[in-house]
Amino acid sequence: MTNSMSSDDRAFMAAERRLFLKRGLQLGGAVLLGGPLLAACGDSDSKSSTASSSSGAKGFGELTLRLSWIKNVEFAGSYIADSKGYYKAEGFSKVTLIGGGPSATPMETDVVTKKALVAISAPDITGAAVAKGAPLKIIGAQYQKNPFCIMSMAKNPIAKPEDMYGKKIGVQAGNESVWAAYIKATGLDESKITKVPVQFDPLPLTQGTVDGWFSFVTNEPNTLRLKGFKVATMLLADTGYPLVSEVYIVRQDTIDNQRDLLKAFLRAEIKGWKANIADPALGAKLAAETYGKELGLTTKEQTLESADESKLMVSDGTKKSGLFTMTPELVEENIKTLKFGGLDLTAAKLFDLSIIDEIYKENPALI
Amino acid sequence: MSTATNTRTTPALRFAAGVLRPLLNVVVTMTAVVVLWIVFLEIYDLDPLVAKSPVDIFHYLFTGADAGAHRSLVSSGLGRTLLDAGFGFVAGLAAAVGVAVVFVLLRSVEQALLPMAVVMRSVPLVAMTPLITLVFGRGLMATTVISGLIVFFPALVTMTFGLRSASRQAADLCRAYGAGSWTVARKVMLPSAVPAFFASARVGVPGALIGALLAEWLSTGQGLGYAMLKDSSTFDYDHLWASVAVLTAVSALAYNTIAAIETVALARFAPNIRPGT
Repeated sequence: MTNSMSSDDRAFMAAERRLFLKRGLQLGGAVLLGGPLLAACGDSDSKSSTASSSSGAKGFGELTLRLSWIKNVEFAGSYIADSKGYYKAEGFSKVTLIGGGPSATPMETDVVTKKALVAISAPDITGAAVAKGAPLKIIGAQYQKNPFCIMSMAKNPIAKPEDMYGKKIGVQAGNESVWAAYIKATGLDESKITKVPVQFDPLPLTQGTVDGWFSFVTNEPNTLRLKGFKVATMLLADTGYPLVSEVYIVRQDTIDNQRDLLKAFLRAEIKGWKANIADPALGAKLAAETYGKELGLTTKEQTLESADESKLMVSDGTKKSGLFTMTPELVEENIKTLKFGGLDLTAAKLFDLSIIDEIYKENPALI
Repeated sequence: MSTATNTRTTPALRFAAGVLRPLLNVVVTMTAVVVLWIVFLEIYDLDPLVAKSPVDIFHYLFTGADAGAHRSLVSSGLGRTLLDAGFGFVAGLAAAVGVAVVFVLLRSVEQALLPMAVVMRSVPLVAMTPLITLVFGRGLMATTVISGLIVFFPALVTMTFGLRSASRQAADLCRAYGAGSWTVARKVMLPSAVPAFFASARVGVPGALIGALLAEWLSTGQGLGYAMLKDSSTFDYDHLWASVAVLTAVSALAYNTIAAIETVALARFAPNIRPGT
């Protein structure tokens, strides 16, 4: 191994390294030169497509949206915006949706490293990244209510947080930060609960190897119900964890430099989601048959999930001021919850809701 | 690399060289890793929030605020992982030696069982882990089995080969004096399989660590294997990189420690084989 490396080898490696660096720079240069060319292509493309649209927005080229989960109905609004041309009408030549999942890079990392311009995440995860110095902001929230729940079998239900004492709860590594914050926020004694690492297939719950299952209320509970299991759910939101979720996150410099682009993107998302709330089956069908085709989803289960999502997205606040908005009280409540969970952030450091508020001010018809 | 002069020096000197060289190797390995690390970061121009440099990690572990807390966090996870890997390493190696001896002594057993072993090996361990968890639970037993499996298969093949390579004449001589198969295995085959044993042990070190990390990730939720997974979801890249660095160092150290023992052992059992090859 390394001990067989002679000084000749080392000299060779140094030369090789220099060459490698040089090649790397050349390649980088090519990308830099090619960038504007590609962007120009995108421009002309989108101009032609937006010329006929009423909004008259200028071309924004391509946009990459990183989703927080696999391409199921959780992102129905984006599928509708894409397939019905709402993104195109706002001036995007193409919107690439990147799916997530249990083994994907965290959303925050993708946005920080500019692999995606916008991502869907959750304030507790984003907050942890912001506390570590990531230049990220939340610019809107899809779910007004936290979608996480503790699912249990109906014959051995967990109805309140204290019911978890002495029981085994399956928690996925990706949800670990939410779990930790929830424990702290509710003041539970963690030593009395056995946390078990699980993946995303709720089989262990049905087999009784765990008593509780950490999941989205829209997701696994519906899967099991359709399979004929009787399950109970306890929403974190109802038990001392009032956090919004499925939030749009972007880098601070995107807010500073590409405000119009973000507005256009959010307008398209609003239209997509409004269509899905009006007809939950629309997004479910797109998820099961087009965008998440290879995932083996069924339209029936996805429709159930889609309808559950609408309940989380629409609140008294959004009825008044529009989807994705957050009332000042809600923001305050979120900051307070995060603080309980050990994240001491100010609202201004985590949220920038001026963009979404501006959209509705300019265009009240969207509400 | 032992040179010709090396093998002729006095045993004491040779012993010292055998112990010191591996230490030097660890230093060389780690230097190479650090250099590659820096070059990698430089070429790919990664975001410093995500991609931490050796300087960041040194700061995180030794000089920065809370360095003590960070060290104890990393070392507690590392302790768990080393325990998991250690059990798997010993169990996997012991099982490989035992099974290899049986294989060599009873040819029919080998013919019956080896295909099964190959089939088992070709199932990705990631896919098999949930099943192992179901059978062995989520404790030390599961990590030992998963980590041991990774060590076991390459060791089995190497050991079987090593045992077979024993001198036929020596075995015949033993038989001529009335020795049974077991005595032949003990007196002739096992000593001549010592080089193969150490080769398996060295290869097994990183394997055992990988197995332990995998088991912690998918099954027990303890140790560095799980902590590193958690780090990426909590944006704790300092801890993630520090864990990788520490694991690499430990792995190199363990590998070279075995190489040191090997040097001493081979002088006794196989003086004509150069250690570390």
